Amino acid sequence: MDLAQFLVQALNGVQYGLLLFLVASGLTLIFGIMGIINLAHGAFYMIGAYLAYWLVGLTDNLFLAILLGIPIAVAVGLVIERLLIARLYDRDHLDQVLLTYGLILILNETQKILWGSDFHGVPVPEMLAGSVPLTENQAYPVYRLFISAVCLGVAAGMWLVIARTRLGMMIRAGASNREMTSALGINIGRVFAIVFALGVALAAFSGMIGAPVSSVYPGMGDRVLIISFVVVVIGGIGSVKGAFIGALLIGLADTFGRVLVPDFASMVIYALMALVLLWRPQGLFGRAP
Amino acid sequence: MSQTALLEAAGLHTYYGASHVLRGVDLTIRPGESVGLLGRNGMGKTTTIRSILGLTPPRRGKVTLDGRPVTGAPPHTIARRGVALVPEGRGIFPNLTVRENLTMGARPAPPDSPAEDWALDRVLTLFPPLGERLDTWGNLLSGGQQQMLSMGRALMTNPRLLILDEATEGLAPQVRNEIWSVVRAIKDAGIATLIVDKDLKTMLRVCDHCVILAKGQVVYAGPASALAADPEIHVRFLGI
Repeated sequence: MDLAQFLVQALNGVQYGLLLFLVASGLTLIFGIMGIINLAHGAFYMIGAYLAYWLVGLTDNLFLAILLGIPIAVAVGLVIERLLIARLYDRDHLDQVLLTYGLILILNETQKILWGSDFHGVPVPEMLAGSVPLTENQAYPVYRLFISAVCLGVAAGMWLVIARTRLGMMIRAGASNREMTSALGINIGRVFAIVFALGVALAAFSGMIGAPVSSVYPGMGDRVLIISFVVVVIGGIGSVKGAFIGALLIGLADTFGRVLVPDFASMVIYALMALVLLWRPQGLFGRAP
Repeated sequence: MSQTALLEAAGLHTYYGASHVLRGVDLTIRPGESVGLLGRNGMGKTTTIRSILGLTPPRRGKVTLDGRPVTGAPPHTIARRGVALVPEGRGIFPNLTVRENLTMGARPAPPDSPAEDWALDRVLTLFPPLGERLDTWGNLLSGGQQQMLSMGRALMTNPRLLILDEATEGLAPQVRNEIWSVVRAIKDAGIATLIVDKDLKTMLRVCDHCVILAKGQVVYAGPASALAADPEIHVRFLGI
């Protein structure tokens, strides 16, 4: 592997990792703050991708599709939170797993009814369709760089909200002590609904912006869900910083694994997870139990 | 005196699962009044507090604030009606700075309230050590400073009733005295208090009224002065 190839793979790995971060950060927030294991989180990624496919078909513009699609995804998420998830806050994890697994089945089936079982592609927006030359015969697609840049922007925005705003304070307080937070007059149910909606928005956005590079197909959320859980476990449950580092590690490990050890590619990320857990059972940034 | 009670709890029965902890507790707190809640460990003091705040809703009985029922309301609604808690163990958010701990629940006093607003400056005047550590994480403070932070945080919600559960527990004698003098200052500012503490002597001096719980029932309720004058009750219900 020469330097240019290495650079291409590194950029791919970072881009994939950043896209994963958007899904995993929602998963880790929902689990860390609300105590909910949301197996349906990957389905919101899929919903995002299908919304992008559908709305790009209608509007012929990915950016417009994203602008229209996020409110739709958040509305679906909020209805699900109010009707179903809100009933799970005081239940144990088995009930949560059963309900959210059922949600995967329902959402996947709904997807098939609405859009069928075919694979679809979403075209890269024209203005971002070019490539950046790396060497004389290696080029890198602009759209992938665009994905990375946007994801970094979203990550920075999330950090600002969590570290610097009153909502962020309430989210952190709720994560550390739910009872005390509500005894101070804060409606924790509303904070939970906001966190859930935020998580859904991030997952759907990830599916939308990733659609032009990943194609759109049934069950696409399931693989993302599993890998996002790996990211959350590596980073430490509840830690957004951990999800960020974990997602980059997984993105790079998966991408280089496919190139360097193609026969074992599917095992690389799990081996990485096992190593991290042997070293730090609570994950990289998790609080010690 | 026919003034409306600020808080009235009547016939509270509260359970933890199958265990029947409160068996008909009555408690009245008038505006600005300081009530001491006494009793040995496990007699239901903290459970009474949790029932009032809606953290463990009573299964029977009712709680009213200014004569309006709040039984069964979620804790944030009850808190917003003017009740603030300084819990046992202080309940500091370790992942928030001192400033964030203080401001996260802050609410201005209602516009019709005659009381002066507890804004950040006023709270820091009451607790000077916190002013020097505003950007420190909450869990890095000493025990006494954490207690001040917990009390300051409660004051920032501009409560009419402040509930103090074991506020002096685990603190050095000198720090305890500081906390007690703040409790007096809070009382002088017109805020009603419900106090649970192991220091009976100081409680009898600070509180207007005392209630003793035994096995989830009220076994004594009366003026603190009367209780101070009756050592026989101390022996019977408090084991002192």
